[in-house]
Amino acid sequence: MSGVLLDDLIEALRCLPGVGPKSAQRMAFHLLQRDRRGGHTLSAVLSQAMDRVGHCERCRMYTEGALCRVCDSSRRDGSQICVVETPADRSSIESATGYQGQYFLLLGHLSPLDGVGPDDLGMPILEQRLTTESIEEMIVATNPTIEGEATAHYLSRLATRHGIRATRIAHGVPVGGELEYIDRNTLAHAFNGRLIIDNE
Amino acid sequence: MRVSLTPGIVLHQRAFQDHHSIIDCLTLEHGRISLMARGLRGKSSRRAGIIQPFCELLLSFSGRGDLPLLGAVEPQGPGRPQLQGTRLLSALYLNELILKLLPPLDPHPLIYRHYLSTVTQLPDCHIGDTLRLFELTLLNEMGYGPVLDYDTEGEALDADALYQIDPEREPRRIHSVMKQDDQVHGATLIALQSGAFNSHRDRLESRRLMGLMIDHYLDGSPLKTRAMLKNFHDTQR
Repeated sequence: MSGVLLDDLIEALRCLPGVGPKSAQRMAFHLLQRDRRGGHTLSAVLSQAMDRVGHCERCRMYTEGALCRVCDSSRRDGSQICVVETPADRSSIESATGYQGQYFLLLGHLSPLDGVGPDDLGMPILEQRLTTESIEEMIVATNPTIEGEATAHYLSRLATRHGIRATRIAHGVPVGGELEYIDRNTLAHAFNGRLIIDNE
Repeated sequence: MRVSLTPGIVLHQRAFQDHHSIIDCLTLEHGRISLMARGLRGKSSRRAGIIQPFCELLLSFSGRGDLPLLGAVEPQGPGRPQLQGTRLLSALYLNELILKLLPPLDPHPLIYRHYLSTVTQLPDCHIGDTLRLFELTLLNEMGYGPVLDYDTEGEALDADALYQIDPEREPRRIHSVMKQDDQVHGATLIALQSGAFNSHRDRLESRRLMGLMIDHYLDGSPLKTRAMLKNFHDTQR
């Protein structure tokens, strides 16, 4: 028979995304049977992170200090700001591109039908940055969903009002993909957003 | 219930657990219905690009209870119209109207067809006129439409006269000039009836009239897209 504490551990592990009762049980048994030291480290770091990690004052990324590493760095380009929906989006851009500018995280997107408005996405903080910093370009990297498009449009209006150039990341056929297997909405978007081939 | 490839349009999509979505749809034969789309948000989902709002699809679903399971989906007709900014929000406004006003599983083929033609026209039409005509069709089909051809006395409407609007009665002709939100000119009611808005006043008053009617039947529930459209306009200034 399982003790109560074991049941609590299994139940607690189920708060992780994609972890059902069976996976939670496997994780709990693994930690108890094979990796107690790892379990202690996990519990200590998790507890500290939950207590100390907050949001960066400038970009809203998770950080334990007032500013995140990007905002605190003097080597980043202050004339560009990339607006993304989630911390995962920011990490993807950081690892996949050579982007050296600033970021702003919305932590969501405009969704009128769900009652999510501009104030819920930290727009007042962004507007403050557009006013006080010498930003020349806002790169809007929201998802190509209906809500992401609505958010992008709101952001471009905001940028224009502050005399800042707003650009949108391109979306269309994935690299290595075949046109035959692309859905019609993606293909139509890619077709409408076609570029002139540079021959140089 | 087992339905195979019936025409339908996605109105809204909500995340459910890690990889699934609940989609609210308007179908031609079954009216408004919510469906569980398993794996729609998964990394390898090929259906995410097809299951998009504002375009007609052929939807299969099966199951008992309030949330049938979405099965096969096939595209039908042209893809998603290219909508941006105010036009995109206006299309979301249509969706919110249907979600809030139309009861589930109550088919209205006329509303379905009018919705489809409205979103197809939205990329390059007069937004206000198109929205007013959709609002009118929606309320008329549900049996809540305003009376637009005679007044409380049974008299034909006079374009120059002022009328007081009561959402549940015929317009009442008034002789005093009291500027109130529930008063419109006869010309506005005639314009709404004919679908041809000839003046700025027709447009302003018909927007006010339809807003009054919709608010009455929403019974205090606010329209979030309407508030956001206003917010967009304020940002533009």
